[in-house]
Amino acid sequence: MQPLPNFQYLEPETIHEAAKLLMDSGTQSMVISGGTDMLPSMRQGIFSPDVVISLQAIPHLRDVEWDDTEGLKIGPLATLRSLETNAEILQHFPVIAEAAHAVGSPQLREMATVGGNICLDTRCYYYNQSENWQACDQECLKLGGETCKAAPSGRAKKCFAVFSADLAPVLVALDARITLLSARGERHVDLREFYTGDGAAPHVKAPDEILTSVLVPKQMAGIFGVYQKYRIRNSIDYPIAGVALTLRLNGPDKSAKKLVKDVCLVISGVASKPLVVKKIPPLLNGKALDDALIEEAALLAKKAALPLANTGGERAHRKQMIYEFTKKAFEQAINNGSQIS
Amino acid sequence: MTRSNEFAVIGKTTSKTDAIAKVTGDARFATDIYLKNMLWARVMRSTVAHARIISINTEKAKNLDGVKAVLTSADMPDGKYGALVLDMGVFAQDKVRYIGEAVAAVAAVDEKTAARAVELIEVEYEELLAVFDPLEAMQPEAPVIHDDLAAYTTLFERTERAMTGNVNYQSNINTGDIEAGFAAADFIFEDTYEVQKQHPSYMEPNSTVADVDETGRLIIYNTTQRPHINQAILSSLLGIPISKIRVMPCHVGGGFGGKNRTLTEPTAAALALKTRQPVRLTFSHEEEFTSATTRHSGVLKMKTGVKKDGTLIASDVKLYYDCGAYAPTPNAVWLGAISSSGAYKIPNSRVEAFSIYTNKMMGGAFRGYGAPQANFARESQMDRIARELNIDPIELRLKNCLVAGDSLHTGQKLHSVRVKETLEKARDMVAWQSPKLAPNRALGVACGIFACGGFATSSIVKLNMDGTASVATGAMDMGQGLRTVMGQITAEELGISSDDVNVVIGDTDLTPFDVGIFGDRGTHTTGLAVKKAAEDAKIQLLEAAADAMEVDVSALEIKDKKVFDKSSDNRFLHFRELLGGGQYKKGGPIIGKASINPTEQPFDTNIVQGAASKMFSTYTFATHIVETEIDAKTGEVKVIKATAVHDCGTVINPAGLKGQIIGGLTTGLGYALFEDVIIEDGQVKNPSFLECRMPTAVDIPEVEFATVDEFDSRGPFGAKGVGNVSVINMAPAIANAVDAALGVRIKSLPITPGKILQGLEERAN
Repeated sequence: MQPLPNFQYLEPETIHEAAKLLMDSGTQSMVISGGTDMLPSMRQGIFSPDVVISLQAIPHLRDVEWDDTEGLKIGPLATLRSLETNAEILQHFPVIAEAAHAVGSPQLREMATVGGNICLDTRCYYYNQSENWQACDQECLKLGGETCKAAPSGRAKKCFAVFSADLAPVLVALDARITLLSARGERHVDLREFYTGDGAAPHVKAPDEILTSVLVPKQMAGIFGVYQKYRIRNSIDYPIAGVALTLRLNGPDKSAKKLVKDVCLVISGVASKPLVVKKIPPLLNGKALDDALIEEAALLAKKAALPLANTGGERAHRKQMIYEFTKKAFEQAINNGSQIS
Repeated sequence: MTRSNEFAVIGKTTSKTDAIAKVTGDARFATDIYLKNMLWARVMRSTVAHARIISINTEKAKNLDGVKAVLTSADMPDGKYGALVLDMGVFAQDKVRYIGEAVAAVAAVDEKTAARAVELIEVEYEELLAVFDPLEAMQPEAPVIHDDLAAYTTLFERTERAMTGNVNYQSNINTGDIEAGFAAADFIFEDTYEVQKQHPSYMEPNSTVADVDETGRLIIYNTTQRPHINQAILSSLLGIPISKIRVMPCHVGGGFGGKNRTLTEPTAAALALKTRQPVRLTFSHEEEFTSATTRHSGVLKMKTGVKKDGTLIASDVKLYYDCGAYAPTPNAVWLGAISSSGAYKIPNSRVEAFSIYTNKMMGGAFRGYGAPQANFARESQMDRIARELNIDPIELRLKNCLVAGDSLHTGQKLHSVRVKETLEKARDMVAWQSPKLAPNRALGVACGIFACGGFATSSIVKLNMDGTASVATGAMDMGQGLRTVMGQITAEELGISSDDVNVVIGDTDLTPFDVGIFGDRGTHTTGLAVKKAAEDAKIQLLEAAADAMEVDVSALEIKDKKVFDKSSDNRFLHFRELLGGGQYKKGGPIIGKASINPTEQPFDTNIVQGAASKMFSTYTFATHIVETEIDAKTGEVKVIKATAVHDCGTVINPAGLKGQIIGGLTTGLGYALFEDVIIEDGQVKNPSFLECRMPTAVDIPEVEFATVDEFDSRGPFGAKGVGNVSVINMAPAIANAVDAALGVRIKSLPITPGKILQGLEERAN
């Protein structure tokens, strides 16, 4: 670890003040929330902001509340730890608690925030390295180089850094919407549209924008959800294959013939964004789940996953884990079928 | 034979003397040392794997505000250092041989200025062809990494092969008649195994604060397993006498063999001498993963001849250990050669073991030292033999295992061997029927041998006027509990309590020579010197008492800090009366001393060549059985429980033993399943704890352990070691469990899910 570079640290007290500071200080400024991902990258010289704007002093940004008309509102500074035990979340969206619990270690979850998890930078063996390390070879594309070193051809002009958050895929599967605020105004973005799939610029948040709120729509309450995560050590690691599934099974209790509705499958840790497997809803919506359909869905998910050798684990195995997790997720949905409608 | 019941202190758990200080944060480590006017050093490192240095320009760095000194090899005396092959300079001399090699160093007023200065140093390289694979490096046409290898000073007898090309060290064993052995075999098994690099992963990075005191003496505060060797190396590299150097090691934040090196000391010392200011050099964690040392990776070829009934009759082993660009501890191959026969009697055995240069970070000492590699091969193959001959794996091992009185394949006669009992006890503890328990659940077994103890050490025991004592040894406590154990040994010998013993370790001004802590030698060898020093002090005390009480020494005995006249219960003198408030009536202060320096050659020199470490006085043994759950769909291996049975002689401190066993098998678990320093074109791809994973406390399975009754007549109170042998069985035991569950034999470490899935696929086709 290198020492942290020098920077100016600001702690505005309102979100508008923060947005103004962010705009005024230009592209060399960054917003910090929990810092668990940002500070190591600053030590490695990947981020070198002149100004760091903390949101810690702004009231209510860590609030989590249920709104009867809109749904679940999560403040960007809510810690992942707080999501694990929040009563509203456990009542309406227990899968959010499940995914939050899967992140890092308890110490990290005490600091890490929802906003940080959503805006998590992509990761790669060739990107998350110090300047000394980078000096030993041609530059990584994401750091200004010509080609992506992780791509098998070695000549790709596209960055293949991996998006490896646990909570974000679940929020995508729950159709979450986020609010971005800047001195120019406010806009709402579907989380699904937030991610670009380009490892070098993984999301559409402009540098002067701040994520101010996450809304999980009311209509999603009670939907079945599950998150499966593969990591090398269950004690601490990033996901190197993750599957988030949400769906409803409609039909009379204890009927094996319940029909799938509103299914969404999102895979994580195997692409540059939380990847919605788009062929799943047309395959399954309106149908009763059976082994053949689940197998087909699992193969679709496996096919969509394109892991490279730029993070921990092995490519073929990570694809296999997406397949196994998808099957397991649907099996869990069926087993829970009597409790959902 | 257990004699622990006869002991007052030995065999009882005594809490570690440094436990509270470490928990509260009071314990002082090298990075806690801040001296007035202290400068910060950083090292400039090679960005290429193999190149001739054309020029180094340090002008810009020297001119940067706040920079006090910049050093390259041009500023240093012309020496090289190493443990057996003296091949490395403090800075690269003429050539760089791996990415991460030290080329220059800077001392500046703060860390950031030092880092900035390093970036300003310009080096022009003429790149050379590099070689990264040890087998390729052995080919005649391979690039030669050390052009002057034949001229290097070495501290052992070299074979001719070890002076040419990239082989820097070779050990051979030739016992019996190998051809006749294979001719008499009913079955021959031949396998090739591969093992990866594993980093010692101590939490505290290498660190030195070097100071020059008012008399011009060099004072070193560091984190090390070998202060006296540090002192000797500094003396020879810097050209100053030992009397002008004091090494004062701090608490060690983990070593595991990795701190049996001298990495930060010479650079910090040279910068301090140059600037006449204290200099601190602490490696970044990235430097730890690129520029420190790892367990040797390698390729192991093993051919074994077996009779129908399972009797091992011939073994032909070739070990190719990749030692990286320099060879700080090439004799890992010698330990590998010894361990490659396993804990078995094999009458006809040939081993050729090579330490080979490649353009990669260095291989060095790491817990298990040379044995985990060889034992992975031996114990994996033993299970293959058992399966193909349809013999129970434990029965096959029992049939072939060494017993006391047997000779090892090196010709060394063994006096303390209870491997058989460890196998039987482990078998009983898990109620072993057969390895396979359920479709996806299986047991895996492995046993092993480790060369224990040896090398020079010494100790001083001084009695204080109140009857308490101080014991001093140059050995180190790196967390394994040496301080506590030396206190127990001293207390037992003197008949006082552990609380009455002050243990002084490491400081070269206060302690006598010890070669360093490694190879299961702390408790066994240093412990023996401490015991003998205490015995010497005790004899002096008894003589003083005999004089005062006007009886013969043989009429006296010691109990509770008193010397009793055996013939009369109420006739005694308290220690403090004998030590007389420091006012000695006769003679001087009571200071016992002793040294151990095993120099006898235990091996048959007609059988072995290149045995750089002559003096292993005894051997430790262990059997581990793992219970695993293996998911055939995902290839994931979960170790549910590990059962460990050790032959470590007398147990000195039960809690310490437990720590050593759980710690060792956790290192073995990481080695087996996921630890791997991945190197691509000479560059470490995962130089961090985040990407180069070791097990955390949460990843440790349930552990049940036991010891077998043994009293090693050559150890202190019958004790042997335990720190290394606890590492070597996990990888083969887990590989054996995977094979038992799925019928998939993994011959390369780590045993990853991907390899298991591939194995399943190959089996299906």
